[in-house]
Amino acid sequence: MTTPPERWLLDTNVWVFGLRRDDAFSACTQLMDHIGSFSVLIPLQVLKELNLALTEDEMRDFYRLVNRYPEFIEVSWQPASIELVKFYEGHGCRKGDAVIAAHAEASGIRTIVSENRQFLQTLTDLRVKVMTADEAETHLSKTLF
Amino acid sequence: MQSIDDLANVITDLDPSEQQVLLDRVAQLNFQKGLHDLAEKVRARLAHEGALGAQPEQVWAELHRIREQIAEHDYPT
Repeated sequence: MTTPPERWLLDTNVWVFGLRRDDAFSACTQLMDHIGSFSVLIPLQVLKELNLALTEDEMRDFYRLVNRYPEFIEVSWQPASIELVKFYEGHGCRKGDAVIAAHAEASGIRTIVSENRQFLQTLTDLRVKVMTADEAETHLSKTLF
Repeated sequence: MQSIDDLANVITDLDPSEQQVLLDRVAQLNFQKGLHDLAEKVRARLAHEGALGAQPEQVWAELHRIREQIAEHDYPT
């Protein structure tokens, strides 16, 4: 199986709004429909959040997908290092957002896709960048279609 | 509808590179179907709970709450 060239971290909000098929966040739904043309990392913090946002049965289905299509979705069970979390907190991220950024950096991910406005405004000029689902869709349309 | 054998014959007539593209596409479509099924399950559950029409602000508040709760637990101040 061919691994897609781009590897992004999708923030929990993208998963949640995408799975809800929320009209107010239609770009999240569209982006999820394009997984496979890029691959996704799910770090421990996002897994824990999804575990609270979804039911046990829904998480089982989710893990089934992860296990069947590892070329599209990769799960990382590694905790983020405290040093990296502090680094991103020091750059204005809230602790939870800092954990996500730390996971991304430790996994060699350069791009986080998130609708979290504060995250988008805070994480600028750093090693990891944040873009919205809409921006991610625009990027994909330029590179793929 | 073509039989499986007919389809297999069509596929084996393709170049190896075309076969790989086809296999990748089939995997992607299967993955998408699984994701769609999961979304339908989530939406059905939310509808049952009366939460499908929740305002985005409510969803955001819950997402922020669980994010900070988990982070504070894993990385206590």
